[in-house]
Amino acid sequence: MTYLVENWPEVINLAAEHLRITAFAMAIAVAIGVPLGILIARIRPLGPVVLAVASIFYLIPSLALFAVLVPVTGLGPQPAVIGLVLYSQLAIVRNTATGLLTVPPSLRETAEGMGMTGLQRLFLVELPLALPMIIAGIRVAAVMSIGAATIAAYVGAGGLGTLIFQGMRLLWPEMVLAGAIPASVMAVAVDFAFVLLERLAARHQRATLPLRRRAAAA
Amino acid sequence: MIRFENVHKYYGAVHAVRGLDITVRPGEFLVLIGPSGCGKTTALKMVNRLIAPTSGRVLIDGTDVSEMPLVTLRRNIGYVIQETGLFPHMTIAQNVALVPRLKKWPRAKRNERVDELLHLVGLDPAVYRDRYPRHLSGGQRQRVGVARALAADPPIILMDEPFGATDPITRKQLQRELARIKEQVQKTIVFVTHDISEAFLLGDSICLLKDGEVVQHATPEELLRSPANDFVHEFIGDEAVSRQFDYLQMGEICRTPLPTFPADAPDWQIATALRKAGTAVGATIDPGGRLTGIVQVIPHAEGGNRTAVQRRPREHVRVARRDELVREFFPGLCRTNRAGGPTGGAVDPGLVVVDEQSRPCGLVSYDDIVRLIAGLVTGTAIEETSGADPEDESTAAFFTRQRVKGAVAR
Repeated sequence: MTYLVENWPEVINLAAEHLRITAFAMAIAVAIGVPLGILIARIRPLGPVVLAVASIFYLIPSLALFAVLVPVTGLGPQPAVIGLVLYSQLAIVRNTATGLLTVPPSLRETAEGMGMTGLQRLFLVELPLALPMIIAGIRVAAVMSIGAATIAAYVGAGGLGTLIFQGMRLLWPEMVLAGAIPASVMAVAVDFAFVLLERLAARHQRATLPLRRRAAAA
Repeated sequence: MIRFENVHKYYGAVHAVRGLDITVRPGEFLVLIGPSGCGKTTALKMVNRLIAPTSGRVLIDGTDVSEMPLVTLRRNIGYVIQETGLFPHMTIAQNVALVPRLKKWPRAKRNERVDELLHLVGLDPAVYRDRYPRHLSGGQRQRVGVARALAADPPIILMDEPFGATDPITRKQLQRELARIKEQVQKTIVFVTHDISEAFLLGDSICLLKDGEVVQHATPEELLRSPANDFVHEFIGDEAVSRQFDYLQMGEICRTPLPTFPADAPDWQIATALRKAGTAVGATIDPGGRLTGIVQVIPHAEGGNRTAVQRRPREHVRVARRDELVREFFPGLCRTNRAGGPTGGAVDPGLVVVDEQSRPCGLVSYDDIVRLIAGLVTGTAIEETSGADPEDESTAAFFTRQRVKGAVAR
C-alpha cells in the first residue's frame, strides 16, 4: 500500500480522469441510446436490426474495439470514449425499449382518451413509467464502462488503467493495486449510486407509505 | 347531446357494430349493456374517437366528432375505465389534476379543484392527495378515477365498466355514490356495463345491445313493462334472479301502499280518496277484507283534466301471497299483461300482494321492481342480517351506512 499512500495526488488525478472519461462517454451513450430505444419501441420492425448492431459492438472484445478505432482517431481519450459509447448501446437501447413496451396498453389508451398529444404521452406517462428500467440499463452500462476504461489506458486514454499497465510492466504489484483498487471502489460506488436513483424513480411502486406520511395519517 | 347515426364497425370480416342509431339527451345517463362482444365498448370509444366507425357518424351537439380537433374533443370528455386507468407514477392529486394541467389551468385553481373533487367522491384530501394509487384500495382508486373524469368539468363523461374489477360490496357502494354524484353534477354520461343491477340503479335509459345491434333502448321501467322480445326478457330475468333475491319474499319488496275500498264504493269517492293518498291504484275488498279487485285512476276518454276510475276484477289482477318467494315470480313478474283482461287505457299497475287471509297489503309496482333489480330494495333482509350478528360492529356499521346511502340514492 505504500505506493498508494506516497503517490495519492497522482492516483486522485488519474481517478478523476478515469471518471471524466467514463462520465463523458455515458452522457453521449444516453443521448444516443435513449432516443434509439424510443425509436425502436415506436417502430417495432427496426428493433431487431438496431439491437443486432448494438450486440455486435457489445460482443467485440473491448481491447479489440479500442485498437480498431486508433487508426481512425489516433491515440488518446477519443478512441476510449467512442469505444465506450458503442459498447454501452446494447444495455441502454434494449432497456429503454423494453421499459416503454411494458407500459400497460390500458394506460396508453387512458392517456390518449384524456387528450394527451403523442409527445405528452411519451414525456408524462411512458418515459416516467419506463424510467426505473432505463436507469437500470444505464447502471449496467456505467459499471461495465468503468471496467473497460481501465483497458483504454492501452490506447493512451489515461485513467487508472495507466497504473495497472505500468505496474505490470515494472513487475510492481503495489502500483498495479494502486490502480485496481480505486477502479473497483469506483465501480461499486457508481453501481450503488444508480441503485439509489432507480429506487427514487420507482418510489411509486413501494408497497407501503413513507414513514413520514404514515405518521401523518395516524 | 350525443347522436349515433347509422354507425357500423367492421373488424376485418367481423361486423362488430351494425347500424347504431342512438340519441343521448343532455344530462341523460345512458347505460349500454349486453353480453360480451355485443359492441357496447366499441360504441363508447367511438364518442372520444379511440375507435373510428367504418361508416356512419357520431355527433356531439350536431357536430361530427371526426371533424373536431382530436385533442380538444378528448379533453372535453371525461373518461373512466377499469381499475388500471390511474397513472401509478403520479400521486392522487396529480392524477386528478391531469386534464386541467393539459388545459393549462393555473396551479392554484388546479389544487382547489383537486380538493373539491376528492371531497365529492368521499376521500379526505389531506390524507389522500399525496399518496400514490398503489397505496389505495381498489374502491378508493375507482373513486379517484371518477374524480379525475370530472376534473375539467366536461359536459360528457364516458365510463367503461368502471366498477368491473371491484368486489361486490365495494361495487354496490360505488354504484350508490355514483348515483348520488350523478344527481349533483348533471352530466351527460354514457356508461358501459354487463351488470343489469347497475344499469337499473344508474340508468335514465338503458340500451340493450346484442351482436352489434340495439335490441331495445328504453327506460328501466319500459324494459320491464314491454320487453321487445324474449332476449330482453331473459337478459333481465336471468341476470336479476341469479344475483340477488334468493330468499326474498314478495311481502318484503312490496313498497307501494294500496288504499282499500269497499267493493260498492262509488267512483267519485274512490277518485277523491286516491288523489288524497297520492296514488293511482287502490284495491276493492269484500266485507271480510278480502281482495275483490283493483281500481285505477285513468285519464277520461274525453280528454282534458278529467279522470275516470277503472275497475279490474280479481281474476284479471296478478296476485301474490306475501310469503311467496320473489324468485318464483321471476321472470314472469315482468311479463307484460300476463293477467290479460280489459285494460281500457289503464297501464298494468303491477302485482297485488295479499296476506294469508287474502287481504291486500300492498302493490309491487314496476318502479318497485326497478328498485329491486337496482339493489335498492333489500331493506328487510339487511336489517335481519345486522340484527342477527350484533357483536360484529363493523358489519352493523356498514349496513347502517348502506341503508343511509340507499335512502339518499332513492
